[in-house]
Amino acid sequence: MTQDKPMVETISNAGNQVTNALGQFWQLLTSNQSKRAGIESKPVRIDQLPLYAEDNAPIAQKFVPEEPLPLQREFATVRIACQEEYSRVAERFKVVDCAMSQTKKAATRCNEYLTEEWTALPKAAAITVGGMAGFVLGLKRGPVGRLLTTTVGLATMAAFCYPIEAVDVAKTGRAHAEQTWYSFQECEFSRAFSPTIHSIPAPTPTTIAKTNLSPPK
Amino acid sequence: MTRSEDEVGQKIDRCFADSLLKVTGGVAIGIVASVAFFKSRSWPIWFGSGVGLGTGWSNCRHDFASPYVLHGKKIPAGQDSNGKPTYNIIPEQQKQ
Repeated sequence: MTQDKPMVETISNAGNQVTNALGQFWQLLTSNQSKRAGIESKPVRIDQLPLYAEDNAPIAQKFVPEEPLPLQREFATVRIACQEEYSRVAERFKVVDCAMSQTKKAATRCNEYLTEEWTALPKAAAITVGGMAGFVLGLKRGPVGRLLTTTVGLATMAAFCYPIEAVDVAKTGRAHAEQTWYSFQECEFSRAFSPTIHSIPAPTPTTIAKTNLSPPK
Repeated sequence: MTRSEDEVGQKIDRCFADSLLKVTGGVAIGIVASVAFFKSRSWPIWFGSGVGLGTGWSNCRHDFASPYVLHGKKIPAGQDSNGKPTYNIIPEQQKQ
């Protein structure tokens, strides 16, 4: 018990020291606060506070556009020349302009779909797996067979992933095939082989007047 | 007044010029790195050109995604782009 006393005293001394330090710290803190309060106690109106941007005098500024990059003017020249040539060609051949606008429209739609639709990547992965499966199944065949099985695998998985588009594509393909078949039936080449050719009178060949080149008798 | 087609065209020109600049820089750095560090292998050149192309592509995307961003800077009126004051020098007319 006699040995415990110094330990208790040490602890109590340490406690006193900590209390004194905290007291000094608090005194310093409160004295600073009182000083600050003395500064802030000066009354200031709200419109005198430097809070608003309109208090500052506006600095007159102007916008200076950046200098064009190297070769930018040359690219502009090439672009304008290409545009003029394209407009000249498109004016003459409407098919080119139509094909170009359709391609642009399809590319824009494809880009929109890829950026907005989150299922594009899994579907692309599934289609790729289908193509790889077709390739592996066609490994024992020749190059044509391999190409065929790969195409079939890709098409099958694409049809599974995009069923509505697959039906649309099938219907459009059928319509195009029918149209092509009808136009083939109506053309002259197919008439030559059709059985109805015999009922149509054959055109009489025009007689070419031959000049008599023999000397007069 | 500038037509919208011309503005898009200027952006396209800027994209091409910027991408070309970056690809050229990437190839140059790739050549130097290939010769200096990689025993004249070719992959640093391809890597540098790819980085340049990707940087140019990204810049183009940002440029087209924010159509109202102007390329330039604001300077105080009365100064040129280097911060020097501009003077309007008027030649003194000779007295007759």
